[in-house]
Amino acid sequence: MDALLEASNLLHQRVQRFALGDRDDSFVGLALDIARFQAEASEGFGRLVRARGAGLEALDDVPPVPTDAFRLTRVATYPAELDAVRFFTSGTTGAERGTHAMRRVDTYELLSLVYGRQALLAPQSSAIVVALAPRPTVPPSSSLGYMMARFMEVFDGEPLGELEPRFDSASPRRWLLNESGVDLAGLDHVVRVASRRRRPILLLGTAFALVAALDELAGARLPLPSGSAVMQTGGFKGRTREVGMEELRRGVSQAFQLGDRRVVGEYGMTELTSHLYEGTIRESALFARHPSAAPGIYFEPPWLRVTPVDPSSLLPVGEGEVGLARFIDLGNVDSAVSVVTQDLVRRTGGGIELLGRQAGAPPRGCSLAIEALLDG
Amino acid sequence: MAERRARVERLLQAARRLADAQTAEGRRLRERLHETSGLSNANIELGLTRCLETSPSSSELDELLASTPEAPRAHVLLAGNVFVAALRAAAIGVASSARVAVRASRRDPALIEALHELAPGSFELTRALSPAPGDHVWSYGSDSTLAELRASLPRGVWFHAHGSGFGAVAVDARSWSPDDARAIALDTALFDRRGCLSPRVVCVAGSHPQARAVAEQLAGALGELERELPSGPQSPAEAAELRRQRDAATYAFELFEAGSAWVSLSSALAVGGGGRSLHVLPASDVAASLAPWAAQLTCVSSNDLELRRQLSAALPGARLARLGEMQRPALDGPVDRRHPPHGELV
Repeated sequence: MDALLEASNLLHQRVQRFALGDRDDSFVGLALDIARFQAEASEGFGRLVRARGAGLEALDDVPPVPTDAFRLTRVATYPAELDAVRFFTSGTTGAERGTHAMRRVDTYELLSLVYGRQALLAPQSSAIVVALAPRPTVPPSSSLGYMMARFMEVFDGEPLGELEPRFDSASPRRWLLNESGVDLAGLDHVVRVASRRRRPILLLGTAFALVAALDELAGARLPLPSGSAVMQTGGFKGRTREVGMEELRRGVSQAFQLGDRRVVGEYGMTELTSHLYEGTIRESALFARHPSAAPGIYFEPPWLRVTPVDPSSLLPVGEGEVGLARFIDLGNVDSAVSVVTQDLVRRTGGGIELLGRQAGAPPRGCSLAIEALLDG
Repeated sequence: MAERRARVERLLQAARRLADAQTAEGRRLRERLHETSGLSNANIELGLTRCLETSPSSSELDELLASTPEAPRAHVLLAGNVFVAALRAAAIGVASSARVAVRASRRDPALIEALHELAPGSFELTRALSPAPGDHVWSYGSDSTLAELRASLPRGVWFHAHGSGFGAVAVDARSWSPDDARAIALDTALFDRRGCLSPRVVCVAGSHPQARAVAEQLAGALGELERELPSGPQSPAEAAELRRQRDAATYAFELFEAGSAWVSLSSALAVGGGGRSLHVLPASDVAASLAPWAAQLTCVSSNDLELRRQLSAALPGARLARLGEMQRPALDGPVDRRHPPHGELV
């Protein structure tokens, strides 16, 4: 086990250097080295590699692990007693929830912060960061909540005023969704503090919470200071009201008096370490790389590659065609470097278009659908 | 009572003609099922000759009539179901009332239409059900369909919701014989494991190595049976689902190839994925291991009398069967006992 841990630690270091711009490694080389490590360290992944019957010589040789596996078993290259955190999927339709365990969180934090800054802020700038999300639990169980807390610490780090005399990312003043709903009074307070200090706000919100905020505002407006932005993420699984993402974007931009392009979509999932963002914030590094970035197009960081694949063969589909999202995520050193979801995507304009979830096979008969047993 | 019995028997008479491959109606039905059921011809034939309940005993019929409430009108909504299930649903309908309306499954209306043709007047086929207070409605299908239907029913209707479920097998490793593998494979392969009686999990009272031996033999039996009883054609969506489930099972469990399906093995509580796959689970207390699924289990088969006794106490909603007999439950009422026989008053 010591040798495997050492190998894992070396891979973490290489991934972190790669994320910081060091190009001694290539994406493909690193991905294959991680896959070979996982084939040795993870019995399940080893079985998947042998079942496919190919070596690990090219990216398409790496068998993607279905997200279902995270609900059926532990997806990790090391024993559970070494877990530093365990993040759980947020599904509400079934008893089994998926788990993504991590032995070390520094790689997760670095990758989240590097790319989050590139997508949401101007280089070197800061903002008052608050979240329309519930306060994270201790120990943390939501990867999204964990990431939001890190954004508060690193992109902000300043006290919120008389109600939060010392900076505290766990302060209830920063987590504006609780059992009673959206804390609009709290948000209003943050807006007043930001306006006084002439600082922009970065409001992090799940789609569900943003809809709840719009409902609560009931047509009223709560203008955010100039330069502010909203990061919207997540879906509506199991919730009572669904709103199209573009409709939500319009509603949010009107309610908070922001331009459409300052409402930025983030795509992530518990089973991944890395995230995708829309590149619409003009002063951001991501926009500088993709000046024609349109809303609805998500961009990967250099350490994540999304490939639309055929649902049956899991091989890449033709240029511009729709396929299931296969992620090769260098951040998943200790879990699954390649993951396939049921989300449909298409490559377009240098980025990825998210097209919703693949409908399952039409149910036949009364045999309990596997989804009902697996869905988390 | 005599009238009700006569109505059921008239339906059974029609069913016997349809099960007989020598009759013109039987031949026509087979051709139709080839188009609608999604099963191979061999599976259709076995379904008609082995699983269609055409000859219940007198006491089974008594039980069917006793467990079915009488109603001014009965309404039956069929699912895109295991095709033979249409007969039981119609029989319960006519046992309940002389006025029966049946809405067939759009996907597979073959058997109910054939029964209607041969037993005209037993029930009416309709495109929309319109129950009134006091009527009874039997509905079969997915839980979401049932919830939608329930929400649309007027107050005062009695609702019998037969939603999704699955079967399980419990075997004692000490009394296991190689023939048991063949019997379980048959229960699995019939109707390509689409039925709510179809087994998805095999719980082995014994050690992990004993469970592994059972899993290996099951995989062999499933593979062998597939040559005699091929699977129906797969749509691209079904193929993709199977691929995903197989890969997830490969990652999560020890896997044994079983023709086009697989048998997985682990100590984790899990059920088989798509197609004819099964999950094998070693257990020291079989009834306790299956208890978390009590609400979903429709049928449990076993090779051991003592196990059957334990399961009967732990899983009162499930029908108990012998190995190889899961797909031919007696025509003595609904297939399982998970629901109150009088229904739920809306």
